[in-house]
Amino acid sequence: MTRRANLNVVVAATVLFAMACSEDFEAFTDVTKLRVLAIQSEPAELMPGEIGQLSALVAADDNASVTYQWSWCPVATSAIMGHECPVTEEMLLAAIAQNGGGAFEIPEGVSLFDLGTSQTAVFPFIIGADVLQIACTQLVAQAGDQLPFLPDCEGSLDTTVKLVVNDGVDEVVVVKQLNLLLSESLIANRNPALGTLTASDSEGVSITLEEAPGTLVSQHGYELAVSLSPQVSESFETTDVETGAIVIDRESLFMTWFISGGETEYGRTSYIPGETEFDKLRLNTWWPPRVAESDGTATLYLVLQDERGGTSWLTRTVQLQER
Amino acid sequence: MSVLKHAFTLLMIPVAVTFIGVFSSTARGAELQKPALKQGYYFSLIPVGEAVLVDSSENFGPWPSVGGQFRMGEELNRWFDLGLSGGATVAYSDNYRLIHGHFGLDGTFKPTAVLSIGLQAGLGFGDFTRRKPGITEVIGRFGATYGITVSYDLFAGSRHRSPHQSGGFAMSPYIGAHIGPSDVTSIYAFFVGIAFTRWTGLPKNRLDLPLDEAF
Amino acid sequence: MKQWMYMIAIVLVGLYAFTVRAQDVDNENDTDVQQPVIPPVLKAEVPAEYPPRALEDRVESEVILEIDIDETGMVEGVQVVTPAEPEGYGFDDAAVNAANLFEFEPATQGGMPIPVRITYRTVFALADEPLIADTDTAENDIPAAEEPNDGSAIPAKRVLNFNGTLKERGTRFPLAGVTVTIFRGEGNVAVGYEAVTDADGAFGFYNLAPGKWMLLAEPEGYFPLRTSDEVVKNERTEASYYVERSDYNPYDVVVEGERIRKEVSRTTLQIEEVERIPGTFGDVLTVVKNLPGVARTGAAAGNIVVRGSSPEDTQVFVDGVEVPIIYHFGGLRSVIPLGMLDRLDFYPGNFTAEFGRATGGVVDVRLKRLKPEKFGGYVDVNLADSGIYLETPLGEKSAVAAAFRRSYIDGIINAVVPDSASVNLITAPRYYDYQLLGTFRPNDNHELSAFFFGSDDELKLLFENPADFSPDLTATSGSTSTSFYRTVLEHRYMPSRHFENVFKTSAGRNKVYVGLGDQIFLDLNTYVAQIYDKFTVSLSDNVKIAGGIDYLYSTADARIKFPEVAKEGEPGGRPDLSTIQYTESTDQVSNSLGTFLQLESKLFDRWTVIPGVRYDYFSRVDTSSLAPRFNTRFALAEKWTVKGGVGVYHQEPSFDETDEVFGNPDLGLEKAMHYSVGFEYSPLDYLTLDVTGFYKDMSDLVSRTDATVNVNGELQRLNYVNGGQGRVYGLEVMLKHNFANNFNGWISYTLSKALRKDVGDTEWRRFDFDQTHILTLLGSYSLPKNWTLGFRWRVVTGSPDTPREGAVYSVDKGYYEPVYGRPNSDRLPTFHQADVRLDKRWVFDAWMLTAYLDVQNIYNSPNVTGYQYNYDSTERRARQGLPILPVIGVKGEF
Repeated sequence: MTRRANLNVVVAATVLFAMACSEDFEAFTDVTKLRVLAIQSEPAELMPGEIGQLSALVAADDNASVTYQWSWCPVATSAIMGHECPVTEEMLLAAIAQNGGGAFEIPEGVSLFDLGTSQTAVFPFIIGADVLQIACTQLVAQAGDQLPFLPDCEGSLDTTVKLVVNDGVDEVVVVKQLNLLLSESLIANRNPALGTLTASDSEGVSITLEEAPGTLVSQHGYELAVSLSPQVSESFETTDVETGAIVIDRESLFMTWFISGGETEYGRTSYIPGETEFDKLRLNTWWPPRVAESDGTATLYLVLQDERGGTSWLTRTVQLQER
Repeated sequence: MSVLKHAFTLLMIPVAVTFIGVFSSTARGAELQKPALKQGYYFSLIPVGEAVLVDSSENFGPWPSVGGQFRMGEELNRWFDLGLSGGATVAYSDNYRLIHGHFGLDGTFKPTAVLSIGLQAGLGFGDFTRRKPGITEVIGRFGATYGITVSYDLFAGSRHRSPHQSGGFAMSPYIGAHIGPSDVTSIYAFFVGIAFTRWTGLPKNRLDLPLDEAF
Repeated sequence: MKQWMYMIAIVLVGLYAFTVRAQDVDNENDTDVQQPVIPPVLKAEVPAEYPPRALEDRVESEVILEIDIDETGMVEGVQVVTPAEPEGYGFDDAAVNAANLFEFEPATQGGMPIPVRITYRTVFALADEPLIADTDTAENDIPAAEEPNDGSAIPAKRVLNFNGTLKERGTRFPLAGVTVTIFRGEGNVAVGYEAVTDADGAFGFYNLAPGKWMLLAEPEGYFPLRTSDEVVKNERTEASYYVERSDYNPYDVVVEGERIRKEVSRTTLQIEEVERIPGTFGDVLTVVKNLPGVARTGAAAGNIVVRGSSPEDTQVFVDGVEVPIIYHFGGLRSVIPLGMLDRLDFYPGNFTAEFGRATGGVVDVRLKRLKPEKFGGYVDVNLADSGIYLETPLGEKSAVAAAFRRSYIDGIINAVVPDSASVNLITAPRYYDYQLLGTFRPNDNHELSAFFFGSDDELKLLFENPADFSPDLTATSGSTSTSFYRTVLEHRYMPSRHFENVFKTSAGRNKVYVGLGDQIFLDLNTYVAQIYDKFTVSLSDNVKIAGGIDYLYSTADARIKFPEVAKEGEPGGRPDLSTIQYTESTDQVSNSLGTFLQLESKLFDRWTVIPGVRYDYFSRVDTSSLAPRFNTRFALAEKWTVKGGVGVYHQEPSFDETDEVFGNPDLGLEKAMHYSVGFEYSPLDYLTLDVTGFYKDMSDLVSRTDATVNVNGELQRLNYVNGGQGRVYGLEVMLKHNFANNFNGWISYTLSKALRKDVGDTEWRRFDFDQTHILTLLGSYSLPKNWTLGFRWRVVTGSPDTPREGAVYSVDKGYYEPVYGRPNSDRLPTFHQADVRLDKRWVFDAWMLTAYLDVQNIYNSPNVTGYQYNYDSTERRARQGLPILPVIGVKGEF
């Protein structure tokens, strides 16, 4: 350890990374321009033959004309490569064909990688698990050097869904990992369920925020609470990095409290089993914006995610009034 | 901000060093000094009145403010003193409040026995609050500050003093300016005051005294 | 000749009393007579020759003389007042003959020289006998003046009734050989006596009449001692006097002569010259960053980047022993205090075969060779920490020193950070270090020393809401701790001037932990041992052979669970926690064996040639290397030297790079070729100009790869290969003004280009710290009255930066991942900064206090240390370095 002992410096920097972030910039959770706040696949993980319904939580100007471009990549992509897919459709088909996957045929007019330009998209797990396993192995053997991450060709195959959203002013590129379960013994993850959202103030006034806008007082502190069952944090089998053994673990969850205005106590909250209280995840405080600084309404976007890609959200718009 | 913008500081250091170097040769070694009033350590308390301007996104001031400064240090030789200085002033009205201060190095050139020209460089800070109906605007500044002061020293009882007296007490009319330049918020202050300065004088074994006074 | 010297040694300095000669005084008016008479000062004393027969018979005696001195200080006449007893040995003639040759500074009255007659006693005493036969034997060894009864005879019984010591104020060093005069006026007659202090600064006077006496001492370079003391009848006056040096200039220290330069590039910094450099807080290793060839790194970054080499390519030794950590918290403060150190040698390249395992540079911090004359030390207090250093002699042959330092940043931060902060510092940055050094010199041939030192750093954080920092952070706490200790034993054997052997052995432990709960951690526990031996044989005045062996052993237990971390050339930022891997090993043994041999020969008295070769074996990569090196210097003229060097250098990849999980165990050594050529010009004794051009060709550098390898049928990442290349070239200029004329400082300038080519790259890219121009002006000026003014001004080309070209939002990770442009294709703005430091020392009788104000970045230059981006990398703002920062500290020395 006499040389390059500066790892501790690297980690100390990592620890303090977020501390160093400037508050001068607009907060990540302040939604003031075109944003894609979440992508959901239903179901969260696909078993062979299942069809994934892909939807996105997009925040945009009501008047903006937003375009969507969905695509899929059979392996995990990386930021270093700009999240470009290192595998072409031809490479995948060739890998399938080389390994006796001739039984697989792409339906007429269907593109494996291009998932369309609609607001939502559909991803059908139409390649058989056994075919995909062999093709995956073949791809790794032939082009492993070009893959940013070596895939697990026998268990949960990490694929990537990419969405490019454009409103004519801004363009946002978003990626989501989509797990294809290649073994029937695996249990698919489920998207976490969000309950109702209530806002209470210190004077004891409590409002359940429904889809129909309620009314909140500007710059008045409201404790926000989402009704959530601790069971949302599912148990799942995973490989312990340290021992290599299969262990049962519980999911960590994190909630992002996006807002169109005002301030929240936390931008994100989390539940880390064994480390934090579950209530920490579902409680926050919001000070809605001034009427003059908004159009008289404010929107709250709650995105709940588990550590395995399960996602759900809830959007609530409120009317504002000055105190 | 360019290097040249701070040429003042950059120049001051070598100039001061050269100045001291040239004139300090006689004061080095164990040579004894002729008794003088400005000898030994000094400590000044200076009540000041100040006019302050703040140059931010728009210009504010000048405001009259009051406060105090201090200077402390030691006479290095006939020509130069070295030490620290600091101070703060406050301007206050219904519409604004400004607190402005500095702390740093202080070098004093003494071209004549009674005239002192001080140069200062160090840390400056400012806190400016402006109140408008419904809005309170706060501007803060933290950065380098430079200063120049001139004082004329009038020593108490100097007519009756012994020619062998070292040290004394002076009251000095005092004027000066502090500049805190910045790309964002700059502060300019012009002040007048009276410096009350006590010089401790040198111990006898450092003075060139006749034998009957040397022991 | 030898006998003559012996006689001088045993003849005591003559002591005298004086009177103003009556015939001269009579001519003066009464007023003038009342003025005190300043006694004559003996400036040229001729020792009386000890009569040979008396010496043979071991007879001692004394003679009282009267000497008439004229206005010019010349001896006009000598009379024997009290002849020697026993008679017949020739004592009287010897005393008179010697006195006739004396020369004096004339006595003065009212500033005018006057003739005087003095009574002078010449003592003939043998060395092994008491110097003065005295019934009061306790102070027999104190040289003392004596008042003869009526100025003409020795009293029957002499009483030492005034006893004093003279010491230097502040340091308490005794002042030897200083003439102390005691005098007073008695009617029309001024009476005075002189004594000379002995090695302990002691002096005494006999038979002083009761009353008030004036005491005067004027040692050269000191302010005079002018005081008065009362002598009371039948009592002895005991007094200690402290005289103040005119100037406690730190640069008054005796600097050892410049060691013979062998290397093409070596800078030696004496500790005294680095202590007051602004912006460095007296930290010797930080000062290295102001030397040519060294790039600027962050304000508190401990990495030393030498001639375009990565920080880990430069070895830092403490007296030749490898240490794991040189700075607390990676750069806050070096782990060994100044008090323990003697000097620092810095080799930016082309170092000789003695040093190995590094392809960059070498920093060798040399410990003090302990030779304290008294118990002393210092206490150092500043805003960050406090330290104490103590040293003492233990008899004639041994000495010991100890030091300890502890930070209190934790206390300050805890006081400032509110409890409601999102991060609570359970243990804010806390560090301490300790050292114990002992030396023993049984004789001139052997020197033994033992050094025990260690350091401990700790930081613990508690996250109130981990998700605020990163959604994938599942730890609620973070901590880092680093500690090490070493015991070093050294034996230096110098049986003759032709042979020297230095044997060292060290052993110790390094313990490093850094982690975020159970999510990320690195837990290393390493025991290390080192054996080092170097011999030097001088075959002649011009030919020397040096060789040695350097063996390193370590055994480590490691548990590492870590994500991929950025390497040189890769943008830093948020680590991807999805890349976490784990490795564990126990008792992992690693050996490194190095041997070297070099010839140092001087041809034609002006051409130094140093060929050498080094062999190293590295067990971790199971590879050996042979590194031939050659340095030469040629003295063109008295003030001009040209020089050049070429050499091969190797080093091991880092431990993580050869790890089976994180790296590639099949990696080989990294290699560099160093070439240097230059000249030195010394127009003045204290001024040197050193200009060196260099070229460094690096190959087999460890470079990251996505290539895969089939291990037992399973495809795995290779992670790293020895495929990188580096190329660095430039010019270093150093104009150094050594201690002289109250000034010390230097101007250093480096012009360089440092490039890298990673595996698979077709084009060269800039190295992380490629800084084209590095200019440092630095100096300390010692002002009168113990003030010191230091300044430093630096202008450095901005470091390369990798631009961001956009960002992709990874919804699963919950943050935008930046998309980077070409590595290091951009640059930060030029850096410039001035620092000023003012020191003032107050001197008290037994100790000294120094206070300083160190103003860093005095004109508040808004230097850009990097860019800070908003969440989606669409906006950036400059991250600024240190603002104007005044720091105060005090140091008490005794």
